Amino acid sequence: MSAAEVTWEDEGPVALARVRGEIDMSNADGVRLTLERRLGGQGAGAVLDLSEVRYLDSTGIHLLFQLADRMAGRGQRLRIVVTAGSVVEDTLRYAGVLAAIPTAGTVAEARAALTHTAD
Amino acid sequence: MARAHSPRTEPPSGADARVGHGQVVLRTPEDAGPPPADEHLTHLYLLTDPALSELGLDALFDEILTRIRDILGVDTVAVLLADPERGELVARAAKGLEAEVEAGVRVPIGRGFAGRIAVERAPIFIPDIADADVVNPILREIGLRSMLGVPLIAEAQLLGVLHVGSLTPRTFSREDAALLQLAAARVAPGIERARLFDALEREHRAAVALQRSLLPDSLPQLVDVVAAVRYLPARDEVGGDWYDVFPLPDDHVGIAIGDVVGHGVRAAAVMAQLRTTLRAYALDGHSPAGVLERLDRLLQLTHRNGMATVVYAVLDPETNRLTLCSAGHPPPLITGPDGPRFVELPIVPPLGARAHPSYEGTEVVLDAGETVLLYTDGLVEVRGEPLGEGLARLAAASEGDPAPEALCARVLERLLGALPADDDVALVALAPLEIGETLVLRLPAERSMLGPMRRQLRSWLRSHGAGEAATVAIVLAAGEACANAIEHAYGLKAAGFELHARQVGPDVEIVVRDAGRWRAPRENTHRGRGLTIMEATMDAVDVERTPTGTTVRMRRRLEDAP
Repeated sequence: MSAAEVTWEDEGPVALARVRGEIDMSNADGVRLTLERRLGGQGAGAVLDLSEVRYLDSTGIHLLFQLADRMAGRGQRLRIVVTAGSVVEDTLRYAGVLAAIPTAGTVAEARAALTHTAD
Repeated sequence: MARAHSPRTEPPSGADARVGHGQVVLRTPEDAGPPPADEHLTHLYLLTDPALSELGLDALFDEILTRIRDILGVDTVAVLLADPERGELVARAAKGLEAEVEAGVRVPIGRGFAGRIAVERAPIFIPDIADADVVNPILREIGLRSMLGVPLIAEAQLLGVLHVGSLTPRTFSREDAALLQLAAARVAPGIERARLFDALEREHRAAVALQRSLLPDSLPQLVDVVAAVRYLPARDEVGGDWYDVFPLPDDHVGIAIGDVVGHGVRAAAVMAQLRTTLRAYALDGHSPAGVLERLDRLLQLTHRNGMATVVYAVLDPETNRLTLCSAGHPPPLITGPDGPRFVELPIVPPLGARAHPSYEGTEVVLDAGETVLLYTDGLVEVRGEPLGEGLARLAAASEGDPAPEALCARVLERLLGALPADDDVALVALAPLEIGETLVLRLPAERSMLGPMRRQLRSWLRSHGAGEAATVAIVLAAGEACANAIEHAYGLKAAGFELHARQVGPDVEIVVRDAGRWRAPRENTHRGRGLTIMEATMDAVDVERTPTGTTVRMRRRLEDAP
């Protein structure tokens, strides 16, 4: 099983979840359930920081869409932190979905984007 | 041997006699008195002949049944042995009634002629089978008329029944019954001995089976390493040697070998417990030293007199760093292109030795092409010889191809030859997978194989000069192809897939092959995206679907574009 670790920071109205490690078919469902359980019903939105994810495959991308849909259904918004030039960014570009996912380069940018538009 | 008596064909008459207790019918015909004294002595001698005690059980039955037949002038003699677990008597040996033995006749204890003898533990005479309750149809089929049977008893335990029969109606005298009882007394201890021996044999077989079932019969799928194991049982004892190879979190690999002091079922049971517990502590994330410390404590708590030697080592296939810890076990050997060397580990007493030592891990790095070999003392120890000589022999025997399988085979052949050993022997050899010209991975179709596959492919790509961007792209494409292969195998038992990587000029070619059916990806699903990713990352992608499987062939330049 590939290893991915999920950690949390609850500060203010926007929750922050950080994933470290690798996400593939062997652990994507587990990561998604962990995120959904924690992000569900909290505040107006959440930031998902993928800057320490070293590998993400199509099941990982699917996870991002599922999570965003689920949160949208509850009126919450999701911002994903993807570092420029990272493997995750490359992968999203290869899959042709980089433009379809609301990303930010840093956590601060993501937070700002969520709080700003939430006002 | 000539017949000592001519068959007596007189009809039974008068003079009932009781022998022992129970419903015993012994008819002494008035006209058939005891045989002449010298003849009687000969009979006694024939049935108590000291030479009989030298015979094994089968030969004893053969000889004594023949003598009984001749002395009593009967047509059949048979021995049935008690099977207390099933409450039955089983035909075991016969003269003239061989069919009974061949058919494996079983008679319930308590029913019929033999069954009643067994319950009443007393001789029974049947003047005419036609009027009697006889369970065994074979007795009637061969036309027996009169029968006499006695119980076989040793140490107050019923072992079986010995009976004789005649095809013509006849009577048996008290002397006949006494002679048959004498014969029974002669064979009973032999049966008892054989039973004890059988019981020991059974225990031995049970212990062997137990031990076999406790050793892993197949190695786990390990992607980053190559492992080989051997277990040779001792010639005639169950040993306490064991080995284990198992994957750990973080894709590390644990290997262990151990030797429980003692033999037999007890040693096998302690071995089973140690092996399972070692795994449990290891999977809990304890270091080799931490695992051994806990095992030592456990052994002292649960097996007061148990002692065992163990080596436990963890290999990190990414760095080839091996962390070892030993408790009283012979030193591990590392062998490779630079020849063999023993790993020097701190001298620590065996587990359970009540010494409460402090365990310490030792780190070594396996160089390219090196293999670590763990073994038990049966491989190197010769009684009366210093251990150093055995170790020197092992070092010499290890020289040659260091690949784990070849190493195990060579070492066993050179040190033990074809002879079964006095002591049991276990071996575990482990080596990091060498990076070759082509990479070939054959893996079970399991999701957990994806991570190790990527690591293996990454190292292979780097060693072939792939650039950073090319590595990311190729690993991503291969990951998608392998994920598809694993999904294709869904529902297939024990399915697998293969990944081949090879350099073709400036390109790398990746081939992923499975034995499942291609499922057309739906738009906008992750599997649809998988194909998109493969096409975006690679220069060429070709998917070939046949009824027997799917092959994905992909190419990309190894070097990053400037």
